Amino acid sequence: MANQPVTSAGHHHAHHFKSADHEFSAAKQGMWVFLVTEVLMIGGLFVAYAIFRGLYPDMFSAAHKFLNVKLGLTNTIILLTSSLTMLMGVSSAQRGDQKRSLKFLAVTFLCAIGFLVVKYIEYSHKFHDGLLPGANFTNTDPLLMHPKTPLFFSLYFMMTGIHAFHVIVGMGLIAWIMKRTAKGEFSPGYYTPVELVGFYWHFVDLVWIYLFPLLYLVG
Amino acid sequence: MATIEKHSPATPSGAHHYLNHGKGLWSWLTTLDHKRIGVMYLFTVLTFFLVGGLLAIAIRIELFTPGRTIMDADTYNRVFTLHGAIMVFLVIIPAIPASLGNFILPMMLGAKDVAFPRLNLASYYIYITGAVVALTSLLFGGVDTGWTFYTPYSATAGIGVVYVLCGAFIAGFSSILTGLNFIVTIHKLRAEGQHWDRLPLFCWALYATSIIQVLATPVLAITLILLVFERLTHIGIFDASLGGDPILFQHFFWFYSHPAVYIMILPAMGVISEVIPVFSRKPIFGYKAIAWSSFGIALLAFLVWGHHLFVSGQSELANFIFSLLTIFVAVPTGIKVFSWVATLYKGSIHFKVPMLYALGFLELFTIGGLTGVFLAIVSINVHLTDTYFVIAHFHYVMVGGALMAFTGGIHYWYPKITGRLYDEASGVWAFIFVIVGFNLTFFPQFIVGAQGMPRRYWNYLPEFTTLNQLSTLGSFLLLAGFVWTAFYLWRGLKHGPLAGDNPWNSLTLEWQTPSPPPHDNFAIDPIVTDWPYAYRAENEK
Amino acid sequence: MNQNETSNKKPDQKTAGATNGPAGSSNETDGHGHHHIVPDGVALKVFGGLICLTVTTVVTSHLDLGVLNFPLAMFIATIKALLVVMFFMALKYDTKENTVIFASAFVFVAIFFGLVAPDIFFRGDVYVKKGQALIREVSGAGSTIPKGWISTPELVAKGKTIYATQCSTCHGVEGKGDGAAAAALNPKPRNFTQDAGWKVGRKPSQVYATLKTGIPGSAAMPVFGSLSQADRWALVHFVRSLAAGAPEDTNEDLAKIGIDPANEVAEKVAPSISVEMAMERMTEAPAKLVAMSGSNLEEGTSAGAKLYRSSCFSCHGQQGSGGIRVKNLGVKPASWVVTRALNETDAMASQDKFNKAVILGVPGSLMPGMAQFSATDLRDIYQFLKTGK
Repeated sequence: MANQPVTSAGHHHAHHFKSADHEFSAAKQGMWVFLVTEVLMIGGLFVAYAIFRGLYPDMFSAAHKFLNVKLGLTNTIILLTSSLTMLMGVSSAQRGDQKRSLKFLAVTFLCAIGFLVVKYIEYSHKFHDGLLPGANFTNTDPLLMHPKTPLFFSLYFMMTGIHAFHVIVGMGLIAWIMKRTAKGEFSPGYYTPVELVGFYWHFVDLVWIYLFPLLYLVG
Repeated sequence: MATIEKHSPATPSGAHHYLNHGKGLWSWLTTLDHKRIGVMYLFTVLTFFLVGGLLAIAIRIELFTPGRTIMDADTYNRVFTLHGAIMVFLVIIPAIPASLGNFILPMMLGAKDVAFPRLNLASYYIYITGAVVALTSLLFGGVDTGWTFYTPYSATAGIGVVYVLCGAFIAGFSSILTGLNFIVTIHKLRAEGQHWDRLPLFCWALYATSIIQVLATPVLAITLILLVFERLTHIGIFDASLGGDPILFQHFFWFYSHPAVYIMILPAMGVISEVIPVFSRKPIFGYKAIAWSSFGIALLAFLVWGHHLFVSGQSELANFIFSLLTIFVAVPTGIKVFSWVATLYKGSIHFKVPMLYALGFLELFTIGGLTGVFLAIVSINVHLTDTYFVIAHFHYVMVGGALMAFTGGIHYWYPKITGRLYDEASGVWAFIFVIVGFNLTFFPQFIVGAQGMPRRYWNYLPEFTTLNQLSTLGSFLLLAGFVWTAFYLWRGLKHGPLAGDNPWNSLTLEWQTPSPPPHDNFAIDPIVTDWPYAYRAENEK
Repeated sequence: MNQNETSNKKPDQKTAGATNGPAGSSNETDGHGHHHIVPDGVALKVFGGLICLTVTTVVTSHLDLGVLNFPLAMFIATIKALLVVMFFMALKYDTKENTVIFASAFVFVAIFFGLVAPDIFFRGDVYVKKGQALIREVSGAGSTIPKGWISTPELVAKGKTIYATQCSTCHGVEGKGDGAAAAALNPKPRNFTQDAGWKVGRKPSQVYATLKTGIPGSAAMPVFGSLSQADRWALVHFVRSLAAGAPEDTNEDLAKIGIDPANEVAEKVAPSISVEMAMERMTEAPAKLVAMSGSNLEEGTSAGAKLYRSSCFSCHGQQGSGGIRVKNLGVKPASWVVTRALNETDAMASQDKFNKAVILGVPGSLMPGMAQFSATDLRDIYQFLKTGK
């Protein structure tokens, strides 16, 4: 649908806001503040990564070779694509095109599944090869003889694990939005939840944009 | 529901206000009204304060004599750990923002509610959940790591630790949501005419606090996650035997926990900034300076955490940097103290109970703050760290500062929240017990600490006995003062005289509406036309 | 004068809501937020950019750009991140407030890293300084002498003094390899009064090398790395003087230890210290070795004094006052004990106890059993310790 004027008609906003727009802008700001908290939380892990990489650069260089770059690249492409489809889903909702929105949200959901499948494959390879965090590390490859190698895998699992957790939560949110879209709850006058879930999803993608080179392309 | 109406003197029995808007327990448990949520937080925080306080009394009784008095050393470790964890995570962090802040902030802004009322309610239940999970640790032998959970001990101690870690993790989200809510509320829900330079200082204080909550608490979250995974799967990030660094845990922990103490004190300073002008009948001195210094403190808060690591094995370079930065924190803090004192100067002082607590704050916070500067200096710190000097320092600022202000704020806004007045004479006497008891409890601790008495020790050398006994005596006075306060405040709910809308003749917006306030705070959307501190001494009551 | 309210405004206002113009445009109204819709064209272009940048980063990671690899990867990642944030999340078209809010998060992560780094990456700086001080001490001016490889009476005399504290414990007061600690060693320490049996050799350069690097495979001849160059030469000349007929160095011999006598180039002292010495010196405050006044070695002519001097002095110090650092031989990593004052021990309580301690040794300590003393000897030594005669 072509761009329609967005008005506050058709949406009952909460009583403490002056208008639907007012509510929407507050909700959006709240989302940005929430994303700040996510940056700080993940940021802690990035700081730990920076510390240990700074201390043991050769170890990182050796250890990262045991990650599968092709799979990591695949996941990167999947997530970038899902970000695109998410965006399309949001803009469809903004224009009031519910069918199109549903389609794109579904594709996004499928991309998320794809991401998790690839992750599963990667993780099971690691388990199989004993490339596990900390005290569980059992691999004996001579390239991995640096005593601090288990730390790399601790960081790898914590960072990608927490990221994957957020992907799963994101899938739940997308499913919720899809359900509400199907019920016709969104319109050009009200699509706040769709846009905010979109933000969340883009943020998940954003984190992966950094995780990929830091873990897979240490070089 | 009221439409356009003039305000009439509050008649709680007849009028329709937030307390009787919706009846029954269920209406409270499912409320979206920030005022009710604030009241629920208030009761819960005070309950945990009672628990934490009784633990403190247990500590003081144990320390009445060297050696065993009423408990063995292992139990003692568990008692002070629980005391610290409860007081920090469940009492002082939420105290002012979640109870008084929730109630008053929207009203001061001229808003009907906070930006996200459902998140507000959620934050309350998350707080309760976190508390329950943390206290479950008692069923599993408790925790004896100290509230700071340093590795490697916390990675290997009993299973109870995991419950407290999870409880703190959960409760942290409550803090984050409160901060998030306040930031958006202050940005988006100010009434017309409520420009930034007319914002009451309590709002500025809560704004700076909320920024800290949002930025710092997530780092605590990741720290606790890492520690839990360390215990469960031995990831080794903090474990030297696996290549990690135990001091890194301390960095992670204090990156949150130091700003956390500013989460505790900034709202308290906001309360003081409100109380002093009202009860001096004078405009606040240095409004802009106080507002900006709140942000100065918030920023510096994030730059100084390493002063908790001076003797941990941190590098000399880091010691130097953190010491230097820590000393700077005194500057914006001093600006506030001087501004308050300047406000008092040539004011018409009304020694009402809120003002008494504000003056008590000035004395106690100044002492506590100055001793912080001693501790900021590395060469002194190496002697005083882990002694009672440090304990005295932080109790002066946290109890003598934040808790005094909290109590003062409860008394100040009591008429607004309840529509009634408490018994003034009781208030004055209880205050005397509190201030004398507090000083008697904690001042001797500066002395024994400087003489070398270590903290977190169940035992002490005989030469410290007298001062410890004085300290214990003081703690009972303090207890008496607080118990009495609770009593007369409770009594006032039913038997206190009706307060009227604005018994203190304050100029801030929350007083321009009935006491207790109606459900929507204001009958009509307010329009702000003036600065809230434009007091003129002689004509006001 | 109060913050007052009037009855002019109605509670539910209709703002001039932000409307959406043609695709791609947005307008800001009354600061209450935007309704920017990202046009599909823009979305696809940005997506294309993201894919290209991804490919670029993978390709460049395979190139060896040295230290630039990492910054380049981060730079590309940041461009991608900015594309996502600015266009997918439409921050470009959002309020400045939200931009400041989001950007501030990264500032604080940077602060976190920026202040942890001075600790983590500068750890042990205290020890670096101690080590540097140590190196200065070992290789600094004054601890080297010009042409140390040439023997002088002064050097021999100096060597004698050093020998008494550092070497006599094992090699004996007279250099016969019969020091008190030798009882615990097999093979016995070198007997310097004989020409035969020197494992590395008797040439000055060889003795010097032995002192510097120890004897590999010998648990006992440790590395006396803490000796300065001057001290080492002094010991070399003293030790060689204990028996006649010591061979001399050729220029090739001297060249082996880095000396070119023709050009008077002394051995280069590399600024390094052995791990053992580093561990020893930096983790414990070294106990002061009891000052060896030359007089002590000559004074005391009673039988007890003589016996004490030859068999006990090097560990137990002047008249049993202790304070000597004795190395626990044959133990790795190296450990030391400092002897106590004898009159604090049980052994001095009676002649019987003394005899037992000396003959049987003290189990659990480094005091070995020394069965070579007769009853008279033991009585003399005991007397000497008790009375000084």
